[in-house]
Amino acid sequence: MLVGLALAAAIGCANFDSSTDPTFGLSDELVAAPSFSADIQPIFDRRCSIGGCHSLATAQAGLTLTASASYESLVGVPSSLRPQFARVAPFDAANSWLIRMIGSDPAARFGHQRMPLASMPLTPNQIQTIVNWIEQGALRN
Amino acid sequence: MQLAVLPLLGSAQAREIQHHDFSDPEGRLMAFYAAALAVSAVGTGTADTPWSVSAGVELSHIPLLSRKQRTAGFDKPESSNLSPILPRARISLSTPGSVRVEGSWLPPIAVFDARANLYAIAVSRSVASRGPIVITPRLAAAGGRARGAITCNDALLRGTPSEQIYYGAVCHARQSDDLFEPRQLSAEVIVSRTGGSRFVPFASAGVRRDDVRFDIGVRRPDGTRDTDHPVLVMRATRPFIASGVTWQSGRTDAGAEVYYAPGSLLTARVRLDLLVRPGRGSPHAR
Repeated sequence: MLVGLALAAAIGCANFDSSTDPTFGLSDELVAAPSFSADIQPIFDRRCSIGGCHSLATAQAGLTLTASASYESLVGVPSSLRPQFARVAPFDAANSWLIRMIGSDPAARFGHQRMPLASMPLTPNQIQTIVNWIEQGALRN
Repeated sequence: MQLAVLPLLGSAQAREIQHHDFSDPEGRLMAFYAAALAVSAVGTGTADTPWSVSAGVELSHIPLLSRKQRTAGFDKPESSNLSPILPRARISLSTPGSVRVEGSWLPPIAVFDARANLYAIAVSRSVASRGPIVITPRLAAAGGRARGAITCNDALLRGTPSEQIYYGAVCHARQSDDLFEPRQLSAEVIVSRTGGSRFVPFASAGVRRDDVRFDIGVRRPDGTRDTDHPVLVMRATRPFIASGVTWQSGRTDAGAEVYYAPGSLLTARVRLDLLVRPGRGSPHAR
């Protein structure tokens, strides 16, 4: 018994693994013709507009991505980090600062840290869904 | 993962409340610390002679978590390995009717990198015995809070470039003042075997109801709490088992147990009590 106790103290351990979910509970479906309200804003809600980041109260880099403000904050608005780029340039995902900041290419971000900061990247399907939304005109649909 | 977000009314600025299930990464982490702080008998729970009082100390081991286990929903790990040991002062009173009432308290002193104020009360009474086997149900309630720099710890400055920027931008380059507040009710049945020996083995099984609140305490540059961050809540009913042995000699009563909460942790606890007031009929009474 005493040996068992000593052993338990020595190997005392957590009996769980962190079940990291790369989708963060979101759909990981590639949407060919995305809707802003149904397919894009939910990604912002779960991954971007959380406390301390792009919420109404904090608005890091002057960007708010809550449902009430995200569209006006993004479409046609110059980036505060690189004003030569619009945060979202309709029909031009490659030159939309949003896509550059969530993408894997550090050169496209001019060395800025990839978003979401200190967290897992969006999934390839989630990124491509946002790309599709921009390439189809970044409509408020 | 189920996540519900509700506004917390009544505070100066609305706080977001996030409800997490035990199965969520955040819920698992909160359940781990709830289990680590849970109060258990570390003994048989049987009463001594009426009106006897014992007092002592208990030490619980809090296993260190890996970076992956401390990453709850985000890639940034939480700095939750604040203390490997949880000490508690304990006092127990035996009353007529073979009832044992126990109280425990961790006063608000710094233990490694955490400061806690945790208290608990428990009542037990042996209800049946068959030969050397004694069955003792026990009810316990616990509450209080532990605080530390869990969300924003300057250890992030030694992390990845993203974590360093996170510490500056989101944490305002200040350590957070996070509050972990477990409220617990538990019921268990302890089976012990007395046989004339100073050593008495015991085993117990029970369930614990956790109502845990984690108040993310990011601090603004002026030191005030940044209410942009949510309060996390986890409620769950979880089983636990324990097994150990007690040892009595004179006025000394010691105990040790292995405590297992499935899905949370396996740990060890030790207790040392001294009889400070012999009861009526006690061989130690003068």
